[in-house]
Amino acid sequence: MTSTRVSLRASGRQALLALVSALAGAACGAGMRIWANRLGVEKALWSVDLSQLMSTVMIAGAVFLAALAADRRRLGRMLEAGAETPASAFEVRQTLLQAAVLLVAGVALSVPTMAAPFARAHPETQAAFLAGAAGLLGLQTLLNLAVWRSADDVVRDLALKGVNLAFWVAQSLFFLWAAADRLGIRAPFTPWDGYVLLMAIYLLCSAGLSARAAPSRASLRATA
Amino acid sequence: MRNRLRVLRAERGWSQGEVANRLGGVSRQAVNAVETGKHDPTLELAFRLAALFDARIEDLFDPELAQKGKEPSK
Repeated sequence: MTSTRVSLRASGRQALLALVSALAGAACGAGMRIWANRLGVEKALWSVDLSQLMSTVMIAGAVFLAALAADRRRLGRMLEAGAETPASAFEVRQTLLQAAVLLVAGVALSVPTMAAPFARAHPETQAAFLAGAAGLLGLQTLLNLAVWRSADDVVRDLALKGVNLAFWVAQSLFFLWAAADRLGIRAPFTPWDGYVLLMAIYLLCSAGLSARAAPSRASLRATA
Repeated sequence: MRNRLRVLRAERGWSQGEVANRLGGVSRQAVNAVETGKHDPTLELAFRLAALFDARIEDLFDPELAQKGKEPSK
């Protein structure tokens, strides 16, 4: 009886959280569209919409991880269900590094799109925007290296598997595109389309592999 | 890979977090992934786990060679 009540309360909390998240997401999306329209961002490109969506998800993920890392007990419970041991300094550092990577990657993904209308209207600023994008790329690379150097066995293994799987999926798609082009079927494809597609494939592969490697509820119950 | 980590950990009364802390530089999720066979550890981590539990690697991990009739030559 008590466990049923607790389970119902947990389900209610999850439903409320889902509703609030959906409303916040809708408001955020509508706000971004209004902002993008004001800036004159192209509406027709699917890759522009997709990159803005991925950028928003990555920045929101970074904020969530940073907030989680600020509370060691909560992070400990997140990492090991039912555990009362707070997260270790290593776990907090890893979480913060991953938040930083997500934040910089999210901003880097958004800047070229957001800056495009202004840069096209003022060609003298194009080099400065490109330098800024290169700077963000450099910072992201440094953070990725820091994550790699301090990562444990599992994180490194997941990163390598994610890259392998993403390469296989991307090269298959690029083969089809190249074959269509050779056969005279012209499908418009910009460098931004290619980059955004590659990022989306990598993020999906990584998320799928991470979900598979995550502790299952059954294994947590048995081991916690 | 099948292993005896859960048994050895339970014998010592350690949580996964405690094992991760004792190893250092390893998250409790990594300990869980190795324990549940979702991740095969690198040789280095396998040696560190063996040292932590004061056991040999072959006492911790079972590569199931015997069942497949591929017993390593001695």
